[in-house]
Amino acid sequence: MGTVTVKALSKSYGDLNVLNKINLSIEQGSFVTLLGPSGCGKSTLLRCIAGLIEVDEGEIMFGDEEVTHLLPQKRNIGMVFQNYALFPNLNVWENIAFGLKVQKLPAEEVKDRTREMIQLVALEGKEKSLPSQLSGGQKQRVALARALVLKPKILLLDEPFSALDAKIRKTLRLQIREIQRALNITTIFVTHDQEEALILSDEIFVMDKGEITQFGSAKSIYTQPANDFVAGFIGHYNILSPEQFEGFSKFDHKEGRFALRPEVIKISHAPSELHTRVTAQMQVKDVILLGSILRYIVSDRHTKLLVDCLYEDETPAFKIGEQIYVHFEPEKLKRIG
Amino acid sequence: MKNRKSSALMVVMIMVYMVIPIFFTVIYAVSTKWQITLLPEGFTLKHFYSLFTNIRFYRAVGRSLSVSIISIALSFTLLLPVIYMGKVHFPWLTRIMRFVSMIPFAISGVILAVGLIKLYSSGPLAISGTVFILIGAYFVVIMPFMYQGIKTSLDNLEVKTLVDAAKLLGATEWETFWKVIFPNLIKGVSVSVLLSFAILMGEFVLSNILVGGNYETIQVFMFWSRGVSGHYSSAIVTSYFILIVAITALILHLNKYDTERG
Repeated sequence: MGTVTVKALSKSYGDLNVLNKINLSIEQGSFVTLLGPSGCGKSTLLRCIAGLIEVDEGEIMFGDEEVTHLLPQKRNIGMVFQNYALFPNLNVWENIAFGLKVQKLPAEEVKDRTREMIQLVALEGKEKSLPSQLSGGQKQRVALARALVLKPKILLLDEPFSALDAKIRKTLRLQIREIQRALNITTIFVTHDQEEALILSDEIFVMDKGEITQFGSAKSIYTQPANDFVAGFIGHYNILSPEQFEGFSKFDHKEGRFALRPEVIKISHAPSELHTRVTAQMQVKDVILLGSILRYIVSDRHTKLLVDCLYEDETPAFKIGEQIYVHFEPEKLKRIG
Repeated sequence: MKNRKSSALMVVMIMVYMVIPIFFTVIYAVSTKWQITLLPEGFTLKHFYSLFTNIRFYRAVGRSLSVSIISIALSFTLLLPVIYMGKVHFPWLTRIMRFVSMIPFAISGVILAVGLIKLYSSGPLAISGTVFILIGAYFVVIMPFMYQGIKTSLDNLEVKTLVDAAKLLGATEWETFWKVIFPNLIKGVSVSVLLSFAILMGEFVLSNILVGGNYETIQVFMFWSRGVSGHYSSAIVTSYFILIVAITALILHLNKYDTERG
């Protein structure tokens, strides 16, 4: 029952095709991310799975049960919204207990399950607080507890961290992942943040213009982008055509497009002694500190590259304007077109 | 510093300007005679006594309160479902309502009254001269304020997301409305209700033309009392003003108490 299958799902608003024959399959207990830029259809797909939007074509299955036109109330789904959607007139306890009371469960059971959820999300002492009295992170935890208290088969998270600051986001996403693993609940997570997707997911579906453009594990998506879009969206790939490799040695390709990760490129003052490497002389145009990563922007007449190095010393090894050599193993170059 | 002082001075001046007519009305209400002298010749409570022993006054207040409350309740009951449905299910309804709610601003009281008398003086709905036509007219008068108050409250609530969240928790639309939407709405529309209440209690043109003596409201009663004496009229105005302030303060206090409950 915890598996989710979507077959040939389509949804349009007038002439606008928001979802175009989407197919996906999600295993029980896995944490799956729908990743893509704004307007790609990921939230629409999530809402179709929740039953909040009627589909035009296609099928949605939970296990062996077809739920395409089933009311949201009957789908046994928990959902956490981007803006929390907490009921402003109800306090923390009442918000979490809302679904249990709607189901007219015995008072003792409502009390026990609500208390259990409050402990799970570490909100003891906040039971009588109204949503207006909570921080963003606390509100999101209440929203999560409210979604989980009904023991749903599937948990949907619609950009739940986008309204939170970076520090809270980092803590909360790991907490949610821990809770998801402990409960073994099938989870579908929507985000435009590729870092979140890579950190949290068992599987990622990358979406663009209403279609799934690539899916796979975080590692396969990151190291084997299927096309320009994925390469440009995930990480900071250098995407190049053969003309841009004109100054490089050991590069034989005449056509196609290639993706190269910044961290696989090495920089040195002298050419590489390893003759198998693709090498070129370039100039350092800019040096950017990104915390633990030092990013060099280097270029020659034909091309510009991003090169990421681990930031180990206080002083950058290469200065702006300096002539350097870049080199990388040929197999690190991924053909994407 | 200079700016703050001049702002405070401006506020004080405006308050004085607004309070002066009320202040002197109150003084006139407790004066024996005040015509050509700088200060009243004497003070008395006989005008208030005369007013508060006049059953006609209480009936007029009662009628004004009744027709105002009924009109506001009717407006709330009819507008709320329409605005809610427009917000959640039928966006086109919101566009129509936005236009309709502005129409009353274009119609002055006299034109509205004359038109209504003509329309409802015969035929199957001959309610001209009755309280029902007044309620209907009051409904139209306060519609822009009630519409805007309800709509703004619903906008602030992000109704659609709350309804979606409640659906996924198993609630029907009715349950969602009563347990989540409606309680949050009450606080938000209280200002519109107060404003509408103040407008209707002070409304004279429609009540005089549409029903006049058939259903004497406090404003019609005040109009009649001009012929008794200016002191008497001032006593009525003072009493009416205290009543409005008391009701307003009570509603605001209840609102504040509710906000602090959590």
